[in-house]
Amino acid sequence: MDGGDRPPGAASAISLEGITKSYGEVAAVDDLSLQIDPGELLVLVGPSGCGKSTVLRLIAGLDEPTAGTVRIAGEVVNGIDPKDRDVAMVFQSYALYPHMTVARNIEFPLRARRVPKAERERSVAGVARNLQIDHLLKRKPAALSGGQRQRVALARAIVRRPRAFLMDEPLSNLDAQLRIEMRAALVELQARLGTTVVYVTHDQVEAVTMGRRIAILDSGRLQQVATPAEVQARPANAFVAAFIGSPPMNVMPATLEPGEVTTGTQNAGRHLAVAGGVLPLTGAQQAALGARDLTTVLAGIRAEDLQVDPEGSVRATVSFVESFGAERIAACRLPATGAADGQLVMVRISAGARAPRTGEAVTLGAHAPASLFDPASGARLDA
Amino acid sequence: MPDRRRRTVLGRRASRRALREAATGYLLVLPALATFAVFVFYPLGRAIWLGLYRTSVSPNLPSTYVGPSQYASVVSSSAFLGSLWRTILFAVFTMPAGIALGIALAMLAHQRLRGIQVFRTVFSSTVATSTAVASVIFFTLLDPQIGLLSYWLGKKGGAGILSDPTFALPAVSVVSIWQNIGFTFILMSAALQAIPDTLLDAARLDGASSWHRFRSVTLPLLSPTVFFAIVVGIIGSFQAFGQIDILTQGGPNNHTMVLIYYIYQSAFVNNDYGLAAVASVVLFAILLVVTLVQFRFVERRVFYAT
Amino acid sequence: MPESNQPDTSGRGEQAWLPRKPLDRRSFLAGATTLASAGLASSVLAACGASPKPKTTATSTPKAAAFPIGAAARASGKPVGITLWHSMQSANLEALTTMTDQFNASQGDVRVTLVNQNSYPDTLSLYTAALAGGNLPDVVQIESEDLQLMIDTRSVVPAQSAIDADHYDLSDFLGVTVSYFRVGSTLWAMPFNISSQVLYYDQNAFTHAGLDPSKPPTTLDGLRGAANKIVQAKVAKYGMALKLSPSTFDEWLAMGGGTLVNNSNGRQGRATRVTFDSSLGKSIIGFYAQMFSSHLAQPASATTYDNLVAIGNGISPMTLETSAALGTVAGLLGGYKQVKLGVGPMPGPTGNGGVYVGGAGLYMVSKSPPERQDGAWQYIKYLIAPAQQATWAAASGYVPVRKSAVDVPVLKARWASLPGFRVAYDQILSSPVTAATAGAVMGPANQIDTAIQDALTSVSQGRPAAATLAQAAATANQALSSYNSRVQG
Repeated sequence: MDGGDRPPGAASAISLEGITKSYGEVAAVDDLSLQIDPGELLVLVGPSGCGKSTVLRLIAGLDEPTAGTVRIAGEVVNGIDPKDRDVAMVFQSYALYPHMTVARNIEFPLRARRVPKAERERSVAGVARNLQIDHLLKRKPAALSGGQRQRVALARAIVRRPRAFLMDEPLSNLDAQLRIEMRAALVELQARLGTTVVYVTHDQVEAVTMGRRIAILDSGRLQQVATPAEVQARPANAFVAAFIGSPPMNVMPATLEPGEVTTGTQNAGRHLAVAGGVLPLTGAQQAALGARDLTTVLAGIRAEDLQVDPEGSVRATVSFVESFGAERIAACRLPATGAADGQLVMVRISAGARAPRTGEAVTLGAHAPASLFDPASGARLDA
Repeated sequence: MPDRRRRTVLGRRASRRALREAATGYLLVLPALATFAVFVFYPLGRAIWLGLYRTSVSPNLPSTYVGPSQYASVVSSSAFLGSLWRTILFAVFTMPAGIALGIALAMLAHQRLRGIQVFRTVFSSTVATSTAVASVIFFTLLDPQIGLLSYWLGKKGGAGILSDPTFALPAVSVVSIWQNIGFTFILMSAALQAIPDTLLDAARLDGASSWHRFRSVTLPLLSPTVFFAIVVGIIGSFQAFGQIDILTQGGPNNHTMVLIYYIYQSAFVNNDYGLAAVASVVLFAILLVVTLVQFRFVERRVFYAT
Repeated sequence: MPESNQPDTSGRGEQAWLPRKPLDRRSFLAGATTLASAGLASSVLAACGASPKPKTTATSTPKAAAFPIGAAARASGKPVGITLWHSMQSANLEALTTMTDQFNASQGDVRVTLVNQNSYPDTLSLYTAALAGGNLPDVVQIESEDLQLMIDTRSVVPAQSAIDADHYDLSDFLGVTVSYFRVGSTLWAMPFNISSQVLYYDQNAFTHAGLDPSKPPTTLDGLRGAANKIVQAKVAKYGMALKLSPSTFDEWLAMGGGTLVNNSNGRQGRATRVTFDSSLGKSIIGFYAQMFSSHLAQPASATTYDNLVAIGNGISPMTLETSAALGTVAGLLGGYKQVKLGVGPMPGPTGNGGVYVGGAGLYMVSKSPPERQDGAWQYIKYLIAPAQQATWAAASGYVPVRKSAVDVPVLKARWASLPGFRVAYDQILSSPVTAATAGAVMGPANQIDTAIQDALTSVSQGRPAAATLAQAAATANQALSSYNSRVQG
């Protein structure tokens, strides 16, 4: 899968074309193609070990791809030294030089590039003011808080006005409160600077809140590149479905049964049977499935698309109810299949509705069609 | 006033507890203190005392009290000053070169290359070599008739490098550097490994050349280890004995007569224990001062990671 | 005279605390290494160097009182066990062990135990260490040049007292072997393993250079001439390898009839100044300088056998080395097929002198009880008897200390097959007994050696010979006066 309808080309700020990075037998990144627009904040998200940091290092030039082409602003940068790629990186550990003052840290890239002293001082002062760290300039990193270090690391990246910022989990060492603040600050900063950012995180909430587009990576392979809304609404596969969203999409094994179930807009010749209950299929889904010879599928349905519904046909028992501020989620256990416990599904309790009690037997109904995935490959069936 | 009384009682109780804690503390350091007293302070005191005597040519015969004048005469003697100068030269020859070489080898072995483990083993192997073995190896290599090094250096024939006043001390220094390189290498390798890779990655992206990265990032971060190596190195050069005993015995013409060897010769060859005691006390004082100065001044300029 | 110097008895209070126990080198090294990290080498000295010792127990000069002749035979517990500390290795050790076993088996009064102390310097330092407190041997083998120090330890029964008491006859002994260990009229140690310097040369190289291999040079001029011929004929790079060793210088001084120190080489009274910077000394060091600067001689290390290797590999076909090395030389040069080893008498300055001896003597220890002193004397007498000296010389390569040993078949046979072994004997036999050929007796022998060696090293580096020698003399004089000031403590 690639970046969708964008052709690889000079228009992209960063373009990865068929990138593979192998360490011996293991491919950390496997045939990845991705275009990043100028001025875009693209979030690269995936579980740890999925290869997202490697992608960043390949762009930065800290590692060279085993195969494929990396372009920055249209020019092929394979084999070009990191310092000549004109990109800046912010590391999870901040990578501040512990023996230098904040001022010297920020100044370092300018010194390395032999920028004259007066200009260096002007730039450092400007960036420091911008990031509100001008009172810290004489300190050493050891004397700074996590948030302050984070700002210094940003300042060091910003000060030389690179073509792109590469950020490797820059917020994951901060406490939750600060992280949320910094997310907003980063997005705001990026909008102001207008510089391309590739932002790596393992936190899908961060990805969804920050990225205009997010790229989901798993086991070195690109799973989907799309806007957060699209990724949530139409996950490209079962992995994305289960990875993105809070709570993530409920993905359940289901069988295709003959017979039409009519509920409002939906009608078709077949329906889904899930844990004894029945879910309808849309006409488009019927058509997509019609071409294939499948009896079982994976049905994905978001918590917000499920509801406790006395009219519903899926029976479940409430395991517990979680409240996140105004939002309440009921975890409901489906009936046991064989020896195994029934699967837990998350159901959002709509505002104003009564929250079910723990242990209560309920029936669940869907008010949106389920996403269907191939049980073998996990790929979306109605793409 | 019940309040005040209460406070006093509490205060007394607190001070009694503090006293008890202090007593426990002293009790705990007592074994170490006793060991130091028996093996360091007492002998040191005896050495200072012995320095006040002119000892006989044979240790079974009486000594004569000569007082502090012996300190003055030894310290101002050309033999003592000469040996002190040789010691300083020896330190200057061995330490900077040894540390630089240790860092260079550690940098080389820090690369991620296939089979680099072999080089690490080779570079650190001199740790497993005793001074005696190292000295004998070099004694053979430097032999003017059969030595490979003498042959390569074009010094075949003649009395040999170790008998040449110009080259004897440098030669002994090379042996010492060689022997210590393993230790320095291991020290510097460990220190290099403790430097986070991301710092050097960051510096690469920041545009620093490899030399600039080394100078501005690696070296400052190695500085605590370098400082440690300097302290150990200076003390080590003041105590270099085995290689000199085996290679040159202080010669030729006293050109390798470092302080410790001068002390050894005075005491155990010439039976002049009084003189040797004086020189030893002075050596002790010098090392004490050197160490204090190093910790006081050098340490300030050293970065210690938090 | 050293032996007349009584210890200073005008005691001060402070002298109640006397340094007593010295260190031996091994424990010094161990201690120094341990304390190295603390920079406390000084404390090692003190740890072992200073223990209180009341003044009253200071050892006094051994009285030349009647030697307890026959005490071993009269002892209640027989055999009397005595100990010899020695420094003999390999073939020499084997020969010494055999002779000692034979002595033990030959009689029932005395049983000798040998203790190998590894080297002369080690033996000496262990001995002085033991003097301060520890087990002393009854007989100790000490290198010849440490005679004055041994006298000054006041721990020795002069061999003279046993000789007098036993009416032992020294007329069969080679003159200079006895004169070496005699100060004034007292013989302090019995000469045991004796050697002198000889000329080693490659007869084949002589032939190639047009020299007569049966007539090696005997004078310094002859030496220079031969070296010159060898170099001119391009037979070798150098004519000879000349060790930067004080013993060659000293030997030449003795051969030229000169002394090393004043008071007749320390024989008529304690040496107080060196005399080696005489005109003879200057001409000798001038010879060194000339040989080096004209590249006729290759300077060779004083502490190795590089000079012998140089004969083998054809760089320098002549060298001067102790006769005691002959076994080693023959073994070493056996590996070089093109070399035909020749041994000639020590070439040197012509004068009224002759060679002096090196090697070691056997000292009896005065702390031993009478029966062990007598046992020691019986054992020494056995070792220096003609038969044993012949066996010893045949096995070790040392020179027999007495003339009649030469007629013993074992030595006769040995010398007949290896005539080189006889050369040193002949030159020692012919050496006249004078102050010069007695050799120097001086306290800081080691330091004076070093001063001379340093001078030779400087000369080999092209420094002016006369100034260098003067410098060496100044250093040596300093060492002498420092030593002499410490004789009484």
